[in-house]
Amino acid sequence: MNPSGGIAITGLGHPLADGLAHRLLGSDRPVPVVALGSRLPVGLRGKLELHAVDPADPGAESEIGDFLERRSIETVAHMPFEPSPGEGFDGDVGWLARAAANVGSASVRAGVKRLIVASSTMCYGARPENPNFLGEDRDLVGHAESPWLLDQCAAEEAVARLALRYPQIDVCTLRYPWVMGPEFEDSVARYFAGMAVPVPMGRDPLLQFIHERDLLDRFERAVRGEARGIFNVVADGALPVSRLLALAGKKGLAMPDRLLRSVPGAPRLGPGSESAAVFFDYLRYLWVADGERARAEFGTPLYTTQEAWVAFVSARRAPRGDRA
Amino acid sequence: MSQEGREEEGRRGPAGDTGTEDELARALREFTNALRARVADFDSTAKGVDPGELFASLRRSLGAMGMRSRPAEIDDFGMDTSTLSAAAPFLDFLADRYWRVETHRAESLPAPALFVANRGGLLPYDGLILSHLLARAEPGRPRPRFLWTDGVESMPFVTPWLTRMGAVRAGRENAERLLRSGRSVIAFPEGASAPRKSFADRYRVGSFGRGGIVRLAVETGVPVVPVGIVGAEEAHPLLGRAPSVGGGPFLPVTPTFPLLGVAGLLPLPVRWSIVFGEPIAWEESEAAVVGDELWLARTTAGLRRQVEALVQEGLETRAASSGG
Repeated sequence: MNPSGGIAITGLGHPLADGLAHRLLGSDRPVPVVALGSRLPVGLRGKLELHAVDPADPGAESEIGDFLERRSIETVAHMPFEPSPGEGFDGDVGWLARAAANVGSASVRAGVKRLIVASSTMCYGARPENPNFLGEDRDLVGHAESPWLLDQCAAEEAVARLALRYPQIDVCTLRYPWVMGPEFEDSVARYFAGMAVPVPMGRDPLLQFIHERDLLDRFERAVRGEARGIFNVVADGALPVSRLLALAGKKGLAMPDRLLRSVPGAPRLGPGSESAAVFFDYLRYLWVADGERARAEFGTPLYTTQEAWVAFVSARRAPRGDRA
Repeated sequence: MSQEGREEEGRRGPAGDTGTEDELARALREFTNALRARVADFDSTAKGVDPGELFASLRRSLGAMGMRSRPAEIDDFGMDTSTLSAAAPFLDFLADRYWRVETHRAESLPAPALFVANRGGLLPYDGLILSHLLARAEPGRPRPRFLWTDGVESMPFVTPWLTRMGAVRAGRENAERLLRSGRSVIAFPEGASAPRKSFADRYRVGSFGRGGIVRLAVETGVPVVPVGIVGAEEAHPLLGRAPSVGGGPFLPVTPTFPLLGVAGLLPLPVRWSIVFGEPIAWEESEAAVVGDELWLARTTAGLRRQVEALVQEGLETRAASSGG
């Protein structure tokens, strides 16, 4: 299926939303694309229309709804928001949940047929009692010390409630793990780019990635297709942190917890004052998701976890200009 | 073949090239594939070949040299075949010389099967040795995986090592996934209470819970093999429990620990006996009543009694073989 009406994308400050917009605009089956949010990336300026709105604003629901209706939008892709200043929600706990609720309600009001929502498998939480594969029906617990993750879980709950209440709209939620690839940049990728990587001492959980290309493929298929429900979009296979670092010729610096928390440059998964301990818990315990349902719906990802990692590392060995 | 297919072939290479093929040849093949893909693109779209992009493609291929040739020897549950191979002589020594393990009725065991055994000792030597002996006896079969939970599954260093050796965190999801994928599972239904048994209670088989183990076997259609293990309890005879330091559930007091410090953690060289019971296959009529709590409780209690009888048999055969 290809949407005959237009597609609206939120969160264009995030590389994933940016990549999806480029794909949709440059494909053989182009569709009208509009953006909802505060700003457009430089590469998209002049290529699509931006409707400037803070989706978490109290009045955003009617404003977005009117806009979607005016533009005959058929599909809304509610993409992730970079936890960095400038996206409107820096330090504002509850922003993600309010934005998801507003965008969802506006979509229903405007008669949108499909709502695609980006989420993270980090929402399952990294815990010692986790089974080796977390299914989509697992409770989302996030991380007690991460307001950003708890907000993300609340955003998913808001969308799930909406899907239950308004079955006329197809809601498709894609949860993805850490993204690796030649071009994708976020705080996690920057952390792993170093030659020496601090890791929790005595821990070696399995990690799972998704290649940026596979992730974009899955979002594009979700936008153009008819899938509904929740899907873990993850690469095949999982490897221990130690093996990943060894594969890349990187050095793992095993550190006790207290020392680890003071590591400079440790990623903050959320905005503001979020603790680095949150990130390191994801290097301490299992949080591998079961991708069976997504595989059945969208096909097997082209890259395994190991191959996504290899693509990430080999691109960073090359000069920056050669990373395409 | 589609361009995606060509890229896939170029990325993965033909079957059997992992680990052995010359890396330079691999890089050149990938470059050639990229060139072919670009030429095909040129034919269809008349866009032309971008020499810069071709050069970048070659650089990326060369950047991955030395990485893809390392085979992923780690399965989806984290078992590392290279660690197991390295540890095999040590496990042989433990089984054949140190603990002088005798097995009884170990012939013609079904596979996959759910081995249900009593649990003893602080560390899961019983699971480790039983899976090693079963794998050694039937090298062509997938290695049986042992479940463990001692309340110390988050213990640094121990958990990663046990995971590499084939341990899987005890839980229904993990066990079911393993059994459904054709792998045998070794379960210890006494659970986390087993390592707390005092020396006087070492051969008392505790409760098997509320029937989860039988339900799992019936629902997956896998036969249950009851197993009695004698010896593991005496490798670390528990004389008492001191308050925990450092996260574990308790600090064990044995004849050698903490008296001899770290050296006291070495297990004692006691003789072991492992007795296998008759495999229990499930009828269709039993699958129909698996929801019946009464039937489940009765069958589980019967299974516990069988294991208890096998433990007694193991004690007698061990006494007979050591002339006691």
